[in-house]
Amino acid sequence: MISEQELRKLVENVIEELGAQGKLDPEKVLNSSELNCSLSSTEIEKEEEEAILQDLCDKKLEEWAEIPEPFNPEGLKSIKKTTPARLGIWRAGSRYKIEPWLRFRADYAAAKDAVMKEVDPGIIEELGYFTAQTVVKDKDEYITRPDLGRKLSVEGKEKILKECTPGADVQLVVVDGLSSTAIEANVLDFIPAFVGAIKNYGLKMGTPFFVKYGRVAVMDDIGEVLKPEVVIELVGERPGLVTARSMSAYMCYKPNKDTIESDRMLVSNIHDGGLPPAEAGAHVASIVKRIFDAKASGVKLTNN
Amino acid sequence: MSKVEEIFSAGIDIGTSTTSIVISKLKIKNIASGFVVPMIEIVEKEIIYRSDVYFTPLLNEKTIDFPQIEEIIRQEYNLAGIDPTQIETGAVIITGDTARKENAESVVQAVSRMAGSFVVATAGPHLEAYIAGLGSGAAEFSANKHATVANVDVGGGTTNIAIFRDGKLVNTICADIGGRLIRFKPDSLTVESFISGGKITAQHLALPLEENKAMLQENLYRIGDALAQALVSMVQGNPNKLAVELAIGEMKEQKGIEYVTFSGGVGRLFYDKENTAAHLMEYGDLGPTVAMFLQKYLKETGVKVIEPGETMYATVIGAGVHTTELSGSTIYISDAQALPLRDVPGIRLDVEDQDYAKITQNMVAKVDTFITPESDTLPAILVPEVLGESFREIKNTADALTAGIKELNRRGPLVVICEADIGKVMGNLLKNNLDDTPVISIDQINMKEGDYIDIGKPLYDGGVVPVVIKTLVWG
Repeated sequence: MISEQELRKLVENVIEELGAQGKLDPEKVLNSSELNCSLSSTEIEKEEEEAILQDLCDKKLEEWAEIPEPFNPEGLKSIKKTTPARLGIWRAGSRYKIEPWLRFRADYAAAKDAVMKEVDPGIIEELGYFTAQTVVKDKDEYITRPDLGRKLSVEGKEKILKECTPGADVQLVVVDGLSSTAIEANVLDFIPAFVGAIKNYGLKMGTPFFVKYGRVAVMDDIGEVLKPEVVIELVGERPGLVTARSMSAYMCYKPNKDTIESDRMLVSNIHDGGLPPAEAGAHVASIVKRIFDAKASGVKLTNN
Repeated sequence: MSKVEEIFSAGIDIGTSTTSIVISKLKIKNIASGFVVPMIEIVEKEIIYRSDVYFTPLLNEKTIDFPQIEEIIRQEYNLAGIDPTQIETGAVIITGDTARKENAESVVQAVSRMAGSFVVATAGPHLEAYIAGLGSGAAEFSANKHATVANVDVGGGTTNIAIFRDGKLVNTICADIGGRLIRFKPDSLTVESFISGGKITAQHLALPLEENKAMLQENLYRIGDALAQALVSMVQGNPNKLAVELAIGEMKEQKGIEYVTFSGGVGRLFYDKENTAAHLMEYGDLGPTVAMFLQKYLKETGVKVIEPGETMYATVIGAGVHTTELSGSTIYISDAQALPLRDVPGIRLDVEDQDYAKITQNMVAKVDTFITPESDTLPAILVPEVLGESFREIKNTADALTAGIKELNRRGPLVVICEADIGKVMGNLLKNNLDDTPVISIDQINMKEGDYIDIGKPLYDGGVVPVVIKTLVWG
């Protein structure tokens, strides 16, 4: 690399040679605004501050199209509004354009983060919940051994027996699942709306708690230990490229070791761009009430 | 597969010249997959009966013959093999010059009550324009093509233009232009009677117009020609002088119309090119003459004219088949006995920020202008989206509304319509606060301040309520 000083020297020499031929005065040329090709470092910093790059993740996928001259701009807009899928992002030759491609990468990174990070303990504390862990020891084991995420550890079982009243009408559990981000984004809005509605129905809630390194079927173990009528489990959904913030609410009547998948019910897509979490809380409560009254869930409930 | 529920809907159109009825069957189904919130929608609309077209019975120039209308409806329901108790939704619309008769309001209310359990009463040219545009198929065409389409409904007394862009109503333009502005004695050019639009047109052209006097053929042509030109000027976005004189409400200028469809009685004649010119006096009115000149002038403008699915029956089909909407599928109804509710006016909370004391004040002030000392009825409260959808924000809003209801000291029922998808949680919170007041909280409905709403009994296991929004004036 040539330093700025060396460069300046080089240019001076050239200009001097030209000047010797009676054409240019080196001092005048270097300081004139017309030839101001080198900026001082403070000037560069100042320019960077003024031109802040937009965070591509702030761009709404439902509005972002790159088609240069759409034949029907209004039509394109209304089609875009219907889906966050990446429609009309155009191309450069046979490749993606740079910005849509960077956004892909950013969304992919957010999805990976959601899987790998732990739920912020501050949120569990704010809810006032205690934590019970599955037999999984760490995140790597959690990812590679789905079967272990379905079993409560011995200490976990002891803890919930000690802290919770068995036989409640409704037992709520929060499980990290595959997106800690989803849990962080939704539980504080979902839970009060849910609890309020359950109270309106006159049902008795058990002591809710948090399960670390859990998968959906961990509710079967919980059902075996606490024997509630209905379990509702909030769990972070496997993130995708549209959002990493989507949470599911699984429900089951008396889950136990013989429970099969068709016994469970589910409301998915709970996030601010899907079903808003507060509204979801009220809606899920009405399903829990139906399960409680019918003493059945899943296919057994919907087929009757 | 989720179940399909069927309901019967009636549409009744009492127009300037004609009255007709359609009965349709609406199929309601949850179209969402099992894993997400239900999305209960009308999935199929089938017209199962169309009545004959009757001349609207009048007792005299100012009064509608209600017993005769009642008789027509009874007779047609019989022919359709249906009982009013089976009709769960629908609308009766009184339109054109008939809406100006002295007993119009009482007739439309009475008809709505005899026609079924939730048949709503509607009126007004701007609403008719919209309904005709839905019924003709223009709105659907506009949505499918992402295009701007004007449906021009030319009836006996009024012309109601609805402009749809991408399937959504953007404007309505109405004028006293129609086929029966002047009526003639059978098989002659002797004037039998005329209404104000006929008089204005004759004065505009400086032509004589008197009852029991014969009109010159040439003058008939001049009147038809002038009315057609006025109408075409409206469609082209620069209404001429006569159009402005005949305007109902403000004569708005609408540019950028890509396609035009015609409906209504004169609309039907417009598409029937051969017969119309050959039988100008077939109905003893101006209809065929206006239609003939419309054909001529539209050809000159080069606007793309298309024939809609329905012409003559557009308004009645719009009323019977398309006015009923369903609410969002996560709603809260504390007490189904409080329904149906009819003609509930809407007030919208004017708030820019989340100042909850101000929300209470604003609500009380606005509700006060609608209530009377002897009634417990409250207007519906429209909760704007800016008030937020986080639990904390919804709770604060619910508390602010509760404070308002307590200050107003009314038993309700309380109807809340949320712009955001928060109807169920809002209803739950309000019910927590208000023991004695029935709470109806719904969402995902497009309603503005000044609109009226009718809310029917819950359908589909309480999952949705049918609603009809009546916008009388479009801003």
